Amino acid sequence: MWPLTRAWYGDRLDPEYTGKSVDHLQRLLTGAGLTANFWQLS
Amino acid sequence: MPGRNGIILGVDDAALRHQIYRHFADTGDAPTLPTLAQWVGGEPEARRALHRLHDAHAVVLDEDGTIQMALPFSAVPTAHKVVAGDRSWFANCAWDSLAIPAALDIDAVIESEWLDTGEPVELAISDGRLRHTDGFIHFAVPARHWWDDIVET
Repeated sequence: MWPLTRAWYGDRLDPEYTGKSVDHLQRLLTGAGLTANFWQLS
Repeated sequence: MPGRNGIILGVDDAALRHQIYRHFADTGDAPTLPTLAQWVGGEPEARRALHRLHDAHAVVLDEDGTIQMALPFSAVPTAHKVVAGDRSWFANCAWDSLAIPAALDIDAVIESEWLDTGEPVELAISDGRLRHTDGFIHFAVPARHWWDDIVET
């Protein structure tokens, strides 16, 4: 959970932050082992 | 890069978004409308900008158009408090209580209760690592529906 949280939110305070794409976020979930249909973002 | 809902913030809105997040980080609270008005040159423009940020999922407004959330920060007290020294922030949910130390890159203690037992949560981030990792965070809403009602999520 912690590595996923850092990857998801760790750049939220960066001045250049402009959001993450759905594909990027999905890769983060997949990388954390969250691959079931429940975790599909679209 | 567009946000999750495909809306790309303009340069001014992106800068305002960052100022709002910075304000949460520094004070634990959302900037007030008068403060936002000072930043953008008036209350009408502040309200318009807030609605653009809301539509882009950069902030979440309540029914009055006031900032309620800038994920992972909550502008209203919740059951999930993050404490670092003499500073503290409210998180929107259990996951966000981990997200705040991640976003701020700080060590912190999570003050909350386990949903099933009511016992105090003993979670802490120290030296950049999550301690006391036994436990579960419950996600009740499928991921594709998180933004259908983000407050409920």
